[in-house]
Parts: sequence; C-alpha cells; structure tokens
Amino acid sequence: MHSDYKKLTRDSAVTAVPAPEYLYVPLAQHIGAPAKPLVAKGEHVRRGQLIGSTDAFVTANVHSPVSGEVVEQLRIRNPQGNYVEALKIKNDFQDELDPNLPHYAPPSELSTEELRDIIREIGLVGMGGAAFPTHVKVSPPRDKKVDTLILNAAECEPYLNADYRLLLEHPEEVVTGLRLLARAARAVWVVAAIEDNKKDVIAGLKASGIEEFARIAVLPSVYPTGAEKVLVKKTVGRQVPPSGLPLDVGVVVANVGTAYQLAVSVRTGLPLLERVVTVSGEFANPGNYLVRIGTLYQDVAGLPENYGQKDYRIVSGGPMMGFSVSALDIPVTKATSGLILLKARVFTEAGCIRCARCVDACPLGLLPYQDRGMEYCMECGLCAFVCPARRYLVQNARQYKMALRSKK
Amino acid sequence: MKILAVSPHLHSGVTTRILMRDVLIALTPAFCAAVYFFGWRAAALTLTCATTAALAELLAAKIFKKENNIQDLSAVVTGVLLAFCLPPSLPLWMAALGSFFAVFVAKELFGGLGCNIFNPALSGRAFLLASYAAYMTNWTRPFDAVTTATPLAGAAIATVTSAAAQSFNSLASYKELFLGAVAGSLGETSALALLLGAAYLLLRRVIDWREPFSYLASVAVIMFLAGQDALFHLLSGGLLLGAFFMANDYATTPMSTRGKLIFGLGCGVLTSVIRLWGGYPEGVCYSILIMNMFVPLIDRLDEHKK
Repeated sequence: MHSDYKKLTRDSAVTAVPAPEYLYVPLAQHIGAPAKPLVAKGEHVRRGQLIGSTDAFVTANVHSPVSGEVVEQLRIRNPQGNYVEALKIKNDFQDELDPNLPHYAPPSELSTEELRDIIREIGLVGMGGAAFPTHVKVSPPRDKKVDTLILNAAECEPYLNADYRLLLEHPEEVVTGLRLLARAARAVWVVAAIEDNKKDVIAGLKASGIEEFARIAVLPSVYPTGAEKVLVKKTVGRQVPPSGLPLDVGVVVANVGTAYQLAVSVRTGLPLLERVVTVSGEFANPGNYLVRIGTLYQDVAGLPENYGQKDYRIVSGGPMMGFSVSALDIPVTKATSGLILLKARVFTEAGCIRCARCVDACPLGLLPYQDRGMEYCMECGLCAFVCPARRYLVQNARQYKMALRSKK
Repeated sequence: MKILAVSPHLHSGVTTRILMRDVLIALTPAFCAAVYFFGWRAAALTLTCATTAALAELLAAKIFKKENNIQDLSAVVTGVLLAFCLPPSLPLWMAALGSFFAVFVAKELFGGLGCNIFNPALSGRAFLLASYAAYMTNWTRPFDAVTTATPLAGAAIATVTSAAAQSFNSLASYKELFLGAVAGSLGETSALALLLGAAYLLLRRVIDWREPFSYLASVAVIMFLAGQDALFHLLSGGLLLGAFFMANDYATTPMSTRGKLIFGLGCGVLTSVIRLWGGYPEGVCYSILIMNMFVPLIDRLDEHKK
C-alpha cells in the first residue's frame, strides 16, 4: 500500500542543488550538546572549515558548507518547531576549500581508533532522521559488547528515496563506508538489511564486494521495517528491550547516508557538508537532490502553482514520522531526509470504536488505544494511520511520555 | 492554509463510515434472501428498523447535546442487524420499538458508539423477546407464511418427546438450511447469503477471523461430543449471523487477539449449553449478550502480557 508513494522520485537520479546566497547552519542539528560557534560575525570562512564544536562527548562538529562571510549568529526555527542557534553565512560562490582539510590514509590502513577520531572530526551523525552522533554509537561503553553492525537499507518511509538512490548510484562508497563503520565499532558480523522493493541495488553492492564481509538480508517491504527495534528483531532475531537501545543487545544500526558520507569524507577529506534530500509529494520539482546543509527549504523545493489557494501540509522528513512545519524558512540539516508537500484536510477525531486495528498494527505489540505501556512507543505512526476514527494516537503517546518524563 | 499536525501525515483512508458501509454491503445478500423467502414484509421490517435506528441516533444527539454521528452509519447497521433477528410476522411498530431501544437505550445511554457494553441489536431483540414473547416466537414458513416451528425448535421438541432416532431430516434438509428455505428470523436462515457477506468482510479485513472461528468451532465440537448433528447446529438458527456479524462487533468484544478467541469460545459454550439443556431452542442472542459482560475482564488478561 505504501510502495506507490515511492514511485514519484524512485527513478530520479541525485542532482546537486546550487548553493544559495545565504545559508543558515544550525549549531545543534544532532542529539546531544549543541556546538559552540568558533567563528565570529564578519569572519571569512572556507568550505569545510570547522565553525562549531564543543568538548562534550555526545555532540557533533559543524562545518561551513560554502566559502563566504559569517553575517551573524541568530536563532532560527528547526523542523521540530524549536529555536536553535545558527550561523548565517553569505556565500561568495567561490567554494574555496579550507586549507587545513586533512588527508586521510587509504581506507584499508585506518585503525579503529583513527576511524573513531575521523568520525568525530567530520561531524558524522545518523542521517536517517534521529541525528545521533555516530562516534558515540561506534564507541560503546566498556560494559556493552558490540558484535553486530546492521546497515539500515530498509528505507521504509513512504515517498523517501534518498537512501535508495545512494545505494543504486554509489554502491562502492556505501560498501566502503560500511566496512569502515564495522571496523570503527569492532563489529564481528555485518548485515545489510534491504527491503524487497529495493532488490535492484543488491547487484551493485555485490559487485562492490559487500559479500566479503557482510551478509545481505532481504526483508519484506512493510512499514516500519526500518525502525531500529523492528530491524534488529527481523535481521538478527534479537529483542531490543522496550526502553533500551540496539546497543543493549550488542547491535549498532547505521544509516545508508551515514556510511556513504564516511567513505566520501575519508576519500576527500571533506567533512559532512551536504546530504541527499528527497523532494516529493505536491512540490513542483519532485526528485532527489544533493543539498548543502543550511540551505533553506524554500531554496530546494519548488512550490506548486496553486500553493496560495489550496490547503497543504509541509512535512520535513518522511510522512509517517516527519515533522509538519509552518513555513519553508527552515534550514536543511544533517537529518533532513525528505521534504514532502501533502494535500491536507483538517480532521477532528471521532470516538474510538474499539476495532483493535491499532493493536493489530503496532509493531511493538503495544495497546495504542489506551495510555498504559505507551512509554515504549517509537511513534512510527502506524496506529494512527489505520485508525478509522482518526484518533490522535501518536499525539496521546507523546503527551503520555512527556508527562512521565516531567514526573521523574 | 498550512496545516500543522503531529505525525503521521498519511492515513489509510479507511474510516468508521467505510467500515460500516462495508458491513451493510456484506448484509445485502442476506437481505435479498430474506425478501426472496419472506416477501416484501422482510423489506418493510428492515426499512422500519433502519429508519427508527437513525432517528433514535438523531434524537440522542439532540437530547445529549453531542455531535450527531448519523453519517458514520453505525445506527443503520444496528437497525438492519436487529431486523435480521426478528420473525417476519412481527408487527412493524414492535420492530420500531425494539430498534429504538437498541440504539437509544443499549447504545446511546451507555455513551454511544464504542462505549456500549451490550450489542445493541441483540439487546433490542432481547427487549422484544421479554416484552412480546408470543409475537417473537411466531415463526412462519418461507413463501407461504404458514405458522410453523423453526428447525431448531423442532429438533429440541424431537429430542425431548420422541425416539432418539428421529432425524431432523423431516424438519429441514442440509440443502434447505444452507439456502435458507426454512422458518426463522429474517436474515438468519440463509447460510449461503451470510457466508457470502462474511467472506466479503474477511477479504476486506473489516472483521477478524478469530471470534467467528472459535465460536463456530466450539459449537461444532461440543455438539459432536454431545452426540448431536454438528453441521445441523452450525447451519441452523442465528449461529452464522451471530458469529460473523455480532460476536465480532467492535465495541462489545475484546480487542486482543487472544481475547477474541476466548470470547468466541465462551459464546460457543453458552450457545451449546442453551441449545442442549436450556429452555430456549436457540442460544445465540443470550450467549453473546452474556459474553459481552466479560469483555473488560478478557481485555484485562492481555493488557500486561504483550
């Protein structure tokens, strides 16, 4: 039922969007401590230059995606609706590279420790949407043993094709990145988990030598196969505890974009400066685009002609778990996998008819129609998707979790 | 206008109204069979019940000052289901009264769709049976409307009065039972029509297979163990109508998968007990109503299991 949504941009090759005149690079695009700005107003920056960092362990570096001048530090809204510190950079369109960019050794010669440092240096995060710093993920605390790395190639959100296009167009980079991530995490077993609607990428992965070190697991294309807990259960049969992480069962899950970026960074010395974003739905220019971090949505997505008259829902990320935003003056971050414009209608919730569709749909076996146990909810949205009364089930679960958190 | 909302931003498109519409579609074969066997009176009864149900829903919305949910079609479904478990000879005003009771008392007084404890249609039937027992047990033969006994009532008398060897075949053949050419309530006689509707609901995933399965299976097993003709019991009376259209009513049955099996089993045991040893020849209505009371308890069982 979801596969149709993907067709719109499935065959669109990734094309680079020209960098705009002004970029707004948030200093907190990741989970963890926000980066502190390292450059001041009026300062000249070069492409790839470190412009935000902090000493905290759980954080991610921020780099300038273009060369130009820092106009100011300001607060800007992120897709979640919160205000975050950002650096506004005026692009000089020279793309002058930072002379201090490192030259890394060939991938085969890099050790685990070197890789962990590189991953931290380049500001790598989980690019599937959560933006969890990758160096933290691959450096587990001493009491946790990691033995398995899973490549999450089950891009299960409707509409999104960013990962699919990378797998199809750059399998060699994804495979190299996966190899490096496995070494960084000291994983013994590596599994590439691919949904069966993306089987055409397997040939490319095999040609790139993925079978030398990894097993390919083909999974049915059912949303939410790519949700970490579901993925871990389906690929290696381990049950992540309800409030735990894959780490608790010795697994690290890595996104395709993350693996790709690591390989590119090691090859070129350039940190994470751009990412693939799927623009889809009612936008005038559906496709997959390589976008500089900090580019405003309005500089990526083309509006349909009737934009002013019709009712729309703008979604940042996938339509099942993404955020609906009020305007397009929000910057693309390391975690922006898609921009979707959906025709919208306003619905009010009707009474629960106890049909139990939510119970059947919940991949975690929760009871979404009532609050109890919803602290484990991962907000995949399937319950609300199937609810005939259109009840605000995900919203209820969120509020419940928030209330629990404030009690503690 | 830009709309801000919590994820997910897509919906399956299946709404309460569509589910209820599907149930009405699934009841159409049984409706046609009823008209074929019992004439236009069947249509008049069904129409009366459906209209009264809708009006009762409107009235409740007015009195209780709540949003009128008439467009979700659930009241119409209740009306049609009630009509299907009434004898064809019932006066129309009684049917209307039963339908009003079903929607206004059994459903709306308990809080409306999803909050009612008892199956509204069956509550309406139980109300009528208690109030007008003679009218509610006046069964007529198909086509000629001559008063007769239902196959189940006949079988019950037969087992009590005459030799055990008496076969039900003199009352109704499998073929008659399957097609519906027997005395009984409007919509319950034709197994074929009900199975067609049930297949549609199962294919459209409107209903779950668990309750009907455990209900029918437990009746068959118990009847077989009791030395009765299991197939006869499956095909006769309101069992198929009850199993596929009432024992899986969303509001009044359990939500967990295991709970659904337990609910069906309970209905099957009670139906068999009533049919074998009870004062009534038929036990579907009361067994489901009794099991309705256990639903909160059954749902509790699975709350912390999963």
